[in-house]
Amino acid sequence: MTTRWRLLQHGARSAYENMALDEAILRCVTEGTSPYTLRFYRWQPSAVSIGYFQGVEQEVDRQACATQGVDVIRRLTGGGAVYHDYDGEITYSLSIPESYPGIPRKVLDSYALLCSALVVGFESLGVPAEFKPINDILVRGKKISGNAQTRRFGGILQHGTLLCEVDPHRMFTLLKVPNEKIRDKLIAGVEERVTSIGRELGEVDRERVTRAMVDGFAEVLDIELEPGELTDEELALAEELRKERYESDAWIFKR
Amino acid sequence: MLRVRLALDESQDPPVIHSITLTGDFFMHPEEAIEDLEQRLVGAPWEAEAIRARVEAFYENDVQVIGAEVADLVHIIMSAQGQE
Repeated sequence: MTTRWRLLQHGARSAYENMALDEAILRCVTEGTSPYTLRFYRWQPSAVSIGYFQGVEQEVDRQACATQGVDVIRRLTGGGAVYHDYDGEITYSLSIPESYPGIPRKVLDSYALLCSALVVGFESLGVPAEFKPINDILVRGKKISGNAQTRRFGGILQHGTLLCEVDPHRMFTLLKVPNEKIRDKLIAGVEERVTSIGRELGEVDRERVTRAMVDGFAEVLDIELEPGELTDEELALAEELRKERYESDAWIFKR
Repeated sequence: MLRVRLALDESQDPPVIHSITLTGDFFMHPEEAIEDLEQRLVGAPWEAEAIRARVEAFYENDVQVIGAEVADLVHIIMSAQGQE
C-alpha cells in the first residue's frame, strides 16, 4: 500500500527558523501529531551552517559573515561546514520515525537508500548522478549534493543540499582557511570537485528540480506526496526552539 | 577534519588529561555520546595505549561513529600540544 506523506514547499526563511522547523517537524512526526514529511526550503539571508561537532571559531570567519549579512548556525546534524547561498541552493529535509518500514538501522545504509531518491531525481533532469558513500551525490566525480542525518526523539531527520550555483570565492571568504597561502588552492579545489545544477544543465528551473526530487522520493519509497502546510503545533514549537536553542550563544558556541 | 582541544595536568608523569573537547566534521549517533567519550578520556594518562583502550571501550557501546576511526582519534589526541 502506498504511504501518504506531506510535502512542504514554503520558500525562504532564516537559518534559525529553518533549523528550528526541521527539529519541530521531526519531534511532531515522532510523536505522531504530524505526518511523515518531505520539505523543500531556501535560506534568507544566506547562512553558514556548521556540523554538530564543529567549533564555530575554527570553521567560520564570523567577522566576514557579519559584514556580508550572512547568518551562522550550528546544525542538529554532524558533518562539515556548509555555505547555504540564497540563490545557489535548494535544501530538502525529510522526517520519519526510526521505525519507518524498510529504513536500515545502520545510518550508513540509510544514506544509500534515501539518497537514491535524489539520484533518481537528478537522472530525470538529465543529470547523470550517483551516490557516493558516506553521504554525497556526485556527477562525473563532482559533488552536487551533500546530506546529513540525525536520529533523535525516536525519529530520523535527513537534510541536504541540491547545489544550483556554486561560488567558491564567496564560500572561502566566509569559511576559515588554515592559512592564507592555500586559499587559492582551496578555491581551485572546490571548482574541480564540486558542480551544480546550473553548470550541468545551463539553467536552474527551481520548480522543475523540486518536482524531479519529489518524484524520485515517490518512486524509491513508494509514497504519495500531498502538498500540505505546517501545523500550529509545529510553528509554536519551532518558535520556541529558535529562541531557546538555535539563536542562543550557548548552542552556537557549544563546541 | 578532526581536531582536539586538550588541557593536560603535567605535574604527573605521564601527563594526565585534565579536559578535552573533540571537534570536527564527523558523525556520531547518538550525538550526545560525544560527551560520554570526552568524559571517559578525562583522567586518562596521555599515552597512546591508554587512550586507545578508552576510545575502543567507547566504540564497543551502541554508538555509530562515521568519519572518525579509533586510530584517528588516538592520533589526533597524541599529536595535540596540550594547548588551551
